[in-house]
Amino acid sequence: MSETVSVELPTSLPYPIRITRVLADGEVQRGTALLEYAFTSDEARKELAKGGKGEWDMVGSWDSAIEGRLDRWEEWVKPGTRVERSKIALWLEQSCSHPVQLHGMCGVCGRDLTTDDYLTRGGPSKYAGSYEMSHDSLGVTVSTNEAKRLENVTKETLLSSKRLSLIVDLDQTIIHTTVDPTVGEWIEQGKKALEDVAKFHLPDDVPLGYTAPDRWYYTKPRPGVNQFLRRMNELYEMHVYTMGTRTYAEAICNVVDPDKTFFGGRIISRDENKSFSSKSLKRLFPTDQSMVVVIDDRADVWGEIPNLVKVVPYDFFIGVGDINKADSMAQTKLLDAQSEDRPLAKESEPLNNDDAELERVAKILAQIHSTFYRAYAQRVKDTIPMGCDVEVIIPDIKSRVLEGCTLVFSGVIPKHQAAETSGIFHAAEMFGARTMLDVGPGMTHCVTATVGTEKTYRASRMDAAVVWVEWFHKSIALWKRQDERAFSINGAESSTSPKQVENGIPEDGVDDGGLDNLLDGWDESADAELQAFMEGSSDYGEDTESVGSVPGSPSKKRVRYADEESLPLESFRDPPEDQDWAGDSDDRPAKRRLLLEAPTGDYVPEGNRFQWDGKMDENPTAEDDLFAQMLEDSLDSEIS
Amino acid sequence: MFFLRQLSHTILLHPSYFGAQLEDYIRKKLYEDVEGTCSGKHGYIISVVQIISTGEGKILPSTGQARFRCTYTAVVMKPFKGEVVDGKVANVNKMGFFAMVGPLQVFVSSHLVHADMKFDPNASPPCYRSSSTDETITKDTKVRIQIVGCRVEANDIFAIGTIRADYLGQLPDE
Repeated sequence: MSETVSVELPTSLPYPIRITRVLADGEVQRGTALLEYAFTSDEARKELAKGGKGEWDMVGSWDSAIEGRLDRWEEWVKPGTRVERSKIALWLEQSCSHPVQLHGMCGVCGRDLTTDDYLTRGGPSKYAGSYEMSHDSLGVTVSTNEAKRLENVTKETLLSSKRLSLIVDLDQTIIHTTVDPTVGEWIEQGKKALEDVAKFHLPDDVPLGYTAPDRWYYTKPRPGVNQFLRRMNELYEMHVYTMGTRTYAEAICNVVDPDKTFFGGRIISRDENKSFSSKSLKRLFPTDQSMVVVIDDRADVWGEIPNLVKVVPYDFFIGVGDINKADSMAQTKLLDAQSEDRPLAKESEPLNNDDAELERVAKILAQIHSTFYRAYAQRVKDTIPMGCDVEVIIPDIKSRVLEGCTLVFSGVIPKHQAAETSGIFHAAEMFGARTMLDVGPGMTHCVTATVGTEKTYRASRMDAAVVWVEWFHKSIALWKRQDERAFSINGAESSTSPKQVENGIPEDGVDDGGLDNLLDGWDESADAELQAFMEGSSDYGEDTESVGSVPGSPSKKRVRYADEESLPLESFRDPPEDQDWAGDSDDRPAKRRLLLEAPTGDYVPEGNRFQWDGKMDENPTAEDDLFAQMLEDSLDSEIS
Repeated sequence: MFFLRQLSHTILLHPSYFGAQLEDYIRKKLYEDVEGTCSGKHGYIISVVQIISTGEGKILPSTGQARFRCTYTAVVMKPFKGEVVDGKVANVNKMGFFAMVGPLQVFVSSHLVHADMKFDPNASPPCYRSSSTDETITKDTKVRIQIVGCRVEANDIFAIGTIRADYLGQLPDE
């Protein structure tokens, strides 16, 4: 494994330096002085600044951090040369380049590479790169060069079999798992939607005080997952990358891939991943990610990588979410809470078995694959064309989604935020749309979150489509421009309520970052309206950029889309069910607010003040309602 | 390599165990405590051969526990550089394979596999396959390995091996 490596002057030398002696020749050991140099001390520099003398008053030596046989010095290295910065100084022939390491020991020559002395700065010596490349974590790491070599081998194999690599997430992407015991009861009742739910114990999930695992895990494969995997197996070499534990990942693979034909041993779980909160492509593909596609329901864990094809999360067990999203400490609590709280038992909605998401994803993946190999077919000799890069292909496909659209947003971006920096602008541009700040010639769409803003009014007179913001969110979530008519604001205004628009959107509840705190938003805007109302103005049609008013009331089932990833999960609280007024602008709760928050400061005679005996009737009777109605009416008449 | 060594181990015993069964209990505890453990100094303790003495129990003040210094002889296994060992393959990946030599895990890098043996990622399970002979190394294959280096830590030993030499590599099944 001998290899000739270049050795650079360390950046830590006190530059500028002047070489005084070149020492090394022949065999070089760790710690052998390679050359001696002179440099100017701080003191001398001060003297020099004053016009004194004393340059090159100090000497130092540069010791080798690696061993080997001197191959040659660079031309410029000779006594008297002045060096300003770090550059390659010599070439050493190493008897072993330590390409593979096991727990810090070279896997080829057996040398211990963790020696820690003055030659290694910042802890134990780290030889060139230390990548973990295998799926398991048995302590084998490889150097950068070795990683490149191994990746080239993999690449050759993939190219010759016309495949790419696909990293598959488990939770909420191809399966949905819960520990809610309600599912067990439902299965016994013979619910049809639960026919293919698999249940298993995890051997390492032993509750306190038990000797054997007690908790059942219920896993629902996403409809069409088998077909999906079979199809993708022809186009991709698939890897599992999950935030669950190793045993969990293996249990799930037993469910979706019992013969181990799809994933084989290519499973990487939280136990092998270094982080609990993020996934990294570099963990498996350290140097070259041009042939890797990722499918995951969460974009935030990957950071901004172009290789990701985001999947709409699979939410079969409603209200359960991802059981592996938290770190290990919090996760035990999460599981316990779920087993005890039984979120599903409270759910009255029937389990929904239709989900065609994997079909959609399969189409995109097939498109990526064919684009890649079409470009590859045009290669000249052995050079791989530029187009053979997933990191180029995916953004390109994305940018065609809203190609030709010029969008103006109304009531979507909070006022205090600069529109250009908002996530929604960024998303729009990523998907190929042009964006404009204000209504103007050339615009094609006005994307709005509320009715009757100034922009929507002006846009509708300009022959631009005025659509609900759901149109945008759905288009970018599904990578397909949606039909504007189904989301048209006019459809809602004329004869039907926004409810009807909603019917066209199976997975609803999309909203923008600014709309997260629905309830808080309502309080503020309602207050503002109240204020306006009391001042005699009844016009809420002004372009208030109101963050709170949402058309199309969010349904109970909420889906997180790409642009919402930056928001904390907590803000995705569902609004209480009884607030079906949310979409209906004529029936806003301003009046009711009046009752709860009576204007203060007005003089009320002592005798007329509301007396409260401290007892609250928990179940309001019809009489109470009547009283409330009367109060409300009287206040209304007072104001108008 | 295997050695017979005289070692000692200290057992602390709770007063509730003091009684007629005391001696038996100490023996049992000694076996449980030491067999199968690994220390960097002695290597893996494979088996306790003989208990030389359990020593005199000494009551510790304040806790009431008794301390027994047992001396025993045990078969220990300590790998050395250059040693040739037989093992069974446990895990194969593109960087090399792991073989278990009794309790010791030996890693053989793909650089130290015969030059004509190539990693075959499409085989299930993955394996190293020779292009000239029918030699394959996959999970559960028996291999003869020469140890190239050992890294000894307080409670662990890691070893690197090679099969890139004559008479090393896959062993025929008996």
